[in-house]
Amino acid sequence: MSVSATLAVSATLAALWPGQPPAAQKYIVDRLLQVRSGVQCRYGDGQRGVVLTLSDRRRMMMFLMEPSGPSEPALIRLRSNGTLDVHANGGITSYLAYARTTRYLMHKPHTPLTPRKIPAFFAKGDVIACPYKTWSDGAYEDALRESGRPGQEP
Amino acid sequence: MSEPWADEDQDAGDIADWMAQRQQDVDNRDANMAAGRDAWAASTATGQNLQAATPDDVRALGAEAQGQDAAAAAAAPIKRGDRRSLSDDAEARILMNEFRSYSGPGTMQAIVNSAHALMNGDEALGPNRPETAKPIKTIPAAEAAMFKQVQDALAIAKAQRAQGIDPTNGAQHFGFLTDSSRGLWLGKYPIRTQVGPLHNSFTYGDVPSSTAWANTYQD
Repeated sequence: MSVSATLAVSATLAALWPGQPPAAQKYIVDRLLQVRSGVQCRYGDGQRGVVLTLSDRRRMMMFLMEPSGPSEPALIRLRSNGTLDVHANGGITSYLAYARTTRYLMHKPHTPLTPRKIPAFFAKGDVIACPYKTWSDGAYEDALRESGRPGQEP
Repeated sequence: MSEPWADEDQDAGDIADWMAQRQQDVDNRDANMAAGRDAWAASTATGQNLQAATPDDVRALGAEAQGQDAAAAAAAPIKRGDRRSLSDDAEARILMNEFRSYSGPGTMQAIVNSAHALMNGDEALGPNRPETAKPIKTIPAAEAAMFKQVQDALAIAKAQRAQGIDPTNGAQHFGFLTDSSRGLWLGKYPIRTQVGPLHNSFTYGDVPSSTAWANTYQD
């Protein structure tokens, strides 16, 4: 892409996150320019979770598509042991919720993407179902069960 | 819970922040100098006769004068905007969901700080605030004591705000790290507060560390 084309695409991508301050928009757009593929699912409450893979195949972005637009993305790194390192606002339940959806979507068919195709990908209506009521409901309890420690006290 | 994030933009971000801080220092110095001159001139007129033999003394006078103004302003209740969308109960249940595996010395302060960040984001941005887990619907009996602690911490944060106190100074983000790193978070947010190490009881799979530092970050 030429410089002018990149700037035009960057402006389009920044407009997808209208609520973010300029520095945050730049940070998000810099990563969206590295996008390689995307996959999304719809939770029981109608909200969508979106995972984008980046040119560094071990790094991904995950965010929620809300009525006002996409939320601030979580940055996710695939560790060499196969677990996910989540960088996101929030605490234990948010981390587990991001990891849960990302892990689910990682193994679903991805749509190849370029930065130009992202807006159309976001607007796509036919997405697969997420096997969760909402993005965070039950994330902690599911992780406890998976770990073999149901009912664990904090 | 996050490990330190190696990011190609980190250095550039650090430099930009450092430059911005240096510019702020210069602006403060100039403002303090002007305020110091005003304070000194006013004192000669009133007979108070403040002493300022050197330019540093004048700047110190100005900083003191402006500090008194800032202290007076800080007594006003904290409110970051009119877009609040969360009830007190929803705030408590969100914080419970995010803190339910953390314990140990400092946990109360960590929840207080995160409560401020949650309220700052909600007041300023409403539903567009930084994403968190949704409010937990049912509190397990085994976690009732934790929920009481969260409610108490939230009450402390609200009392602080009523007195004009926000230890995070307007932070809207909170998060946990596996060490005491204080660098830019998500490549762009400077740290505001840090509490740790806390104990994390949930260690499995994607969350391997039993220790955590709870931080808040400026926007």
